[in-house]
Amino acid sequence: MLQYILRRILWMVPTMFGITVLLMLVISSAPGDPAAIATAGSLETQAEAGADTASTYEKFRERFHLDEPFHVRYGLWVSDVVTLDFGPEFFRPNTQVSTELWRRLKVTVPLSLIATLLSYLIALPLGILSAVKRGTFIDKLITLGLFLLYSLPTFWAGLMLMLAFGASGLDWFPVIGLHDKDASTFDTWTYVWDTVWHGVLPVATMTYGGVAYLSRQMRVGMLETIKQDYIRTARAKGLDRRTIIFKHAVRNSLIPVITVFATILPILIGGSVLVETIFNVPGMGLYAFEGLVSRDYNIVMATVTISSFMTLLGFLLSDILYAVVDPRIAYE
Amino acid sequence: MSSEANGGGAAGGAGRRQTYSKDYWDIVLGELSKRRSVRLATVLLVLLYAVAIYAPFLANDLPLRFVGTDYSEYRGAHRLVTVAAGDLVRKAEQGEAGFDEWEAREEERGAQLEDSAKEHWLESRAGAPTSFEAWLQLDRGSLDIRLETMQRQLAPEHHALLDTARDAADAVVDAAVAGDAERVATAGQRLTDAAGEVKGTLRAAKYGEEPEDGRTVALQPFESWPVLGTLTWGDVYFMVLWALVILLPVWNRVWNGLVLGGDRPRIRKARRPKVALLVVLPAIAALAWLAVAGDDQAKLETTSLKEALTEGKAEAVEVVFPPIVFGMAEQNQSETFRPPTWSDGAGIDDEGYYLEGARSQRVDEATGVAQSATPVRVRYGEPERNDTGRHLLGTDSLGRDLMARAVWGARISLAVGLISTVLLVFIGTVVGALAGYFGGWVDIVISRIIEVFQCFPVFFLILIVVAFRGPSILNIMVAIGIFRWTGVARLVRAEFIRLRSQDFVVASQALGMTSVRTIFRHVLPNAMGPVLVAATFAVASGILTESALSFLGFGVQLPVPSWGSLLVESRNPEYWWIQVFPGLLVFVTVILYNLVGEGVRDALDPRLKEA
Repeated sequence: MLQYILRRILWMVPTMFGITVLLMLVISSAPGDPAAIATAGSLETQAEAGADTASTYEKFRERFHLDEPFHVRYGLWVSDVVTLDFGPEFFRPNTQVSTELWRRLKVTVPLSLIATLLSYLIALPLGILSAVKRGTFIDKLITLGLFLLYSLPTFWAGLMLMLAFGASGLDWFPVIGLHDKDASTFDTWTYVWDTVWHGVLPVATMTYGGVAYLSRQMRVGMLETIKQDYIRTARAKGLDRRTIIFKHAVRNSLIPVITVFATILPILIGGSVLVETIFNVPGMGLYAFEGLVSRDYNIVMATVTISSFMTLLGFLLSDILYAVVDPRIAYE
Repeated sequence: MSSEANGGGAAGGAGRRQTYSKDYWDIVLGELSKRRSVRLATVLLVLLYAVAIYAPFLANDLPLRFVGTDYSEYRGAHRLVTVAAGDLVRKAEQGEAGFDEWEAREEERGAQLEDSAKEHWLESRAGAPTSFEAWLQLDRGSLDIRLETMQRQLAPEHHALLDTARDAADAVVDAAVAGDAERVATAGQRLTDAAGEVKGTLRAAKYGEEPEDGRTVALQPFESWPVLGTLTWGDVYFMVLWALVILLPVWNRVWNGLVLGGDRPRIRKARRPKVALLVVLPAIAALAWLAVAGDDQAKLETTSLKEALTEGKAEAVEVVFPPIVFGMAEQNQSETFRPPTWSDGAGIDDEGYYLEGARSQRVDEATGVAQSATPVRVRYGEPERNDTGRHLLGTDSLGRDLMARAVWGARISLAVGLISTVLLVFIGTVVGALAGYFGGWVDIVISRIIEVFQCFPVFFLILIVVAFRGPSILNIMVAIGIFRWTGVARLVRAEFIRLRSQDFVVASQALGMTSVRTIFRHVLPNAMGPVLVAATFAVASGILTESALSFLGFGVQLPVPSWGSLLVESRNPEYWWIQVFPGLLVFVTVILYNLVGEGVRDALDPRLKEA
């Protein structure tokens, strides 16, 4: 098992290599000169002051290695990243991307985890209920509801939640940011309460997709399990329904649902761009979006690399979980 | 589908049912048509596409049919007759040397331009005249449009004068091409005189005024089909295609029953001709349209016909407007951000103030500043100011009708979904087929690449490409295509691995067929089922992705909006209709595609049907 995990971790190296090379290729192929864009504002003011504009431009190119050929630039980037240094931001040269990223991750990761946990907590009972009551009105209602949720565009769901529950509608929840303006003056409990209150709508937006997906998986898995011989055996020997469902059916159909965990994580992190932009939550998604808008290569490289890495970890984790949940699965 | 089955039974004669083997598509279509949700969703999708394709007939500020007089159009043409004639004469007098000089000047101008201005210049160069005669014909054409525009509103007795001008213009061109300076001079004089006479004697009398003999003339009503004039050959192609698709149940039944006599094997063989018909017939129509209407609709639009009718510069005897009387880009400054007219608080009084709500106040309560308002301008043919059906979906920041824009926006949104899907299915199928058929190191490399792609947050990657390469409809479609193919590739690969050792494939290889032929003719058709399912979901996902990109501000920037770009008009919760309706359209479309996709999946994969 340990050997398997080690080998999987080693396999992550070439995959990460592929991801980062592809990423940098995409970014470098973009038309336009980032140095020119980045220094344009300061160049004008300096030109007015009579300073040497060409050297500012050159310095910028040199500092961010923009004048190097692709492989050199990539090499420099990797050698920095190995020490978890993603370089400074383009427009705030005194801010390190890794510092800022760490700050942002502390927002995004808890939100994603809560959303994932909530998805499971809501989805599993729904899926089980739907499978047990198969063919009844309840099943049809749940299936229809989940189908609608599944087709709902994330950003639109966020907007509609804002309209319905924000100041323009019922005015139940705040819709911008994660804290009130004067949150720093609150005592601990008020602060926590304030954060929870702000987090309701973003988390709801991040959760519903997972609920729809997981419930459907759970229902299919349950129906598949119920058909198995051992369920028939359990029924034949006269066990009561409750025991059959919870002890025999649910446990065995949980396996595929747990492994789905890994595929939900990247969706959540990718989707966090939309959700965090809508609700103005200062997490990694919003950071990536800001990096894109300002064409800051360092921010974009850092955020995508981190989220890909987390996805890879998620895959690994789900495979390990697979073995833990199902003893029949043994990795040599 | 079901009719084929009935026909098969009838052909066998009474009491003696002919037995036939169902092939793959018989089974799939049969299974699909059994599902009510799939049938309903398919019909609704066909209608949705019909709305997009027939948008010019559904939402337009131009009338479908117009019989009447258009004073403003006539005046525009009349005013420029002498100018156009003068241009032609001057160019003819300059001769070949003039053309060379003009060309040199154009090149020089182009050399100074950069970037987007240069691109624009190159585009316009593509259609620029390349010979002296073409150079002259340009002005000859522009004179002709003016004369034509005048002629259709003039009584027949005035047509002779216009013909004189035409003849003179022809003579000028002939003489100039021949290089005969003397003839150019005489013909030029004739043209100048004729144009002068047209200008002097054929002035249009204003409405309500009697024409003065020899100075002004009364305009005669003419008949026109303004919307038809704006259609391109591409529009015509899809309109004919969609008419065939909508009528498919009818002509398919007639073909199967009457022509083929309900004979099962013949019906099966007729599938290919039917598909060919769907492709060829619209193409013929489009080519015919190209021949009749020409490539570009050179029009001298001074003001829109609707505007002219509103201002009394045109008079209609008979006019038929589309169901939505608003153009896709038609602005109305007096009606910005108007809520849907059926909702509470959408009523506006004579002065332009709302009847209730914040915008009804004449003086701002907080600041004490007087609030200004413009009386609502109701143009000709539009519903009344407070008519419930005036703006069913409200208006945007420029007073453009959201419903009209949504109808036109369907074109972009649905096209992005379809085209990006075609792209990703193509890439995925080829890559997956290679990996699955050849196996070995090809498979290893491709599987690794797929793995790399799977670890990306794909939406993010598409966002990066579109953000860095510039938001354009092409970039969005290509980005979706090149980053979303992995799902299809995995499916195709799995199918190929399953199929490649089967007898029919081995037989094909043993017969010495090339790999390409084996892959495309024998294996692929048997592996298309799962691809079809994935493709249906991919269209939905493409539409979603495009709208999300637009929402983030990286959407299409065209005169024609997409649903996503409609939604970003305003994030102000006060203008809720702008956020609700475009998103709702995306939602409904995605639901329909998912319904069809699930139906196809159940039909193709009986294993999942139970679930």
